[in-house]
Amino acid sequence: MADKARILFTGLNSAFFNMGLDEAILESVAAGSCPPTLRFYGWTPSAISLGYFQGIHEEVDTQACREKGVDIVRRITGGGAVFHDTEVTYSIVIPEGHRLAPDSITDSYAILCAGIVEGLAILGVGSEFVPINDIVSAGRKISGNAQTRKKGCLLQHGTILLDVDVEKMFSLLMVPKEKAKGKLIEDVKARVGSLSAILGRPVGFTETASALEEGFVSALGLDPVREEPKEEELALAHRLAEEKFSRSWWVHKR
Amino acid sequence: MRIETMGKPEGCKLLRVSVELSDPAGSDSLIGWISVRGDFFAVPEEGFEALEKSLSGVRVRDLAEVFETQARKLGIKTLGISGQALQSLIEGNFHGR
Repeated sequence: MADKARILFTGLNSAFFNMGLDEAILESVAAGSCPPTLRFYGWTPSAISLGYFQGIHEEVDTQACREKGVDIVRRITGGGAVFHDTEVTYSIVIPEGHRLAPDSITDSYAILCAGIVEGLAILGVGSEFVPINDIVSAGRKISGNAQTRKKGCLLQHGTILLDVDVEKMFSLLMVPKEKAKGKLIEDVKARVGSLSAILGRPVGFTETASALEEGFVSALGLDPVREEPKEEELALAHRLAEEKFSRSWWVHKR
Repeated sequence: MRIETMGKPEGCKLLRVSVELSDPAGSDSLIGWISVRGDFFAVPEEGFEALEKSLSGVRVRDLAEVFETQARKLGIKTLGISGQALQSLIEGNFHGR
């Protein structure tokens, strides 16, 4: 039998609000006031999100970000730095102990990433889950995912690239000294894929998010109800954006 | 002596390690403090600082074992990082690798 799930499409928002809303949804699901929740969203302005354990000055050219109007936010999840530009981002929150949130982090990545693989198949893109947390199409990474467990809930969020500007990405990220920037850009171009490049046509946010919704519902066996975030969630998201995710003590934590 | 090292040991994510060691630096050195950054996962994330702190006073040669013991004691699940990887990265530095 399918499990009830709330589906949210929350549009394009700032990095700080986006991370605030993911955490606010986790609070709602943890409190039992909402069922498992799947959310699709985008970022404006463009932003770099850092993994919880990354050192900001080791990963990001903060001055270049300032000059180009790119926000920097630290996630509550581990993983690597992500340049959020032309992409669809999703988050999913499920209580621990639910059949979709087993104890093993590795197993739960595989279970939840099946939704992305199925969504990409609906778009005509063959892909596979590659542990620990990537989805690869024809040898190229097309989606990265990160997960945490808090307050008795699993939160996983991740991105699916619609298009990628590798040069811009590397103007914002720190490049290891031992690698020549040009060589690194070529390496990354060979290793990173986008839906538009794979399908040979522009692929938009709505088309992709809808296919992913269908993919998650089918692969995870969900009984979906499209809703809007609750007022309390929005209020908490704004508060977390203001008091945590945009603050130096959090962003510069490491 | 302070050592800065980084690497992506097999089965791990990118790990960046800063560590203060007693002189002379070697596997018998005591860790004064250690800071680990990188792409790895540790849940709960907030517990990782306590794990780092618990490694102060540990000999480099014991780091792999103590890291895993302390992670278990603190209830921290890790992915993409291991005590053995940290110990190898630091010891690799002694051997000029």
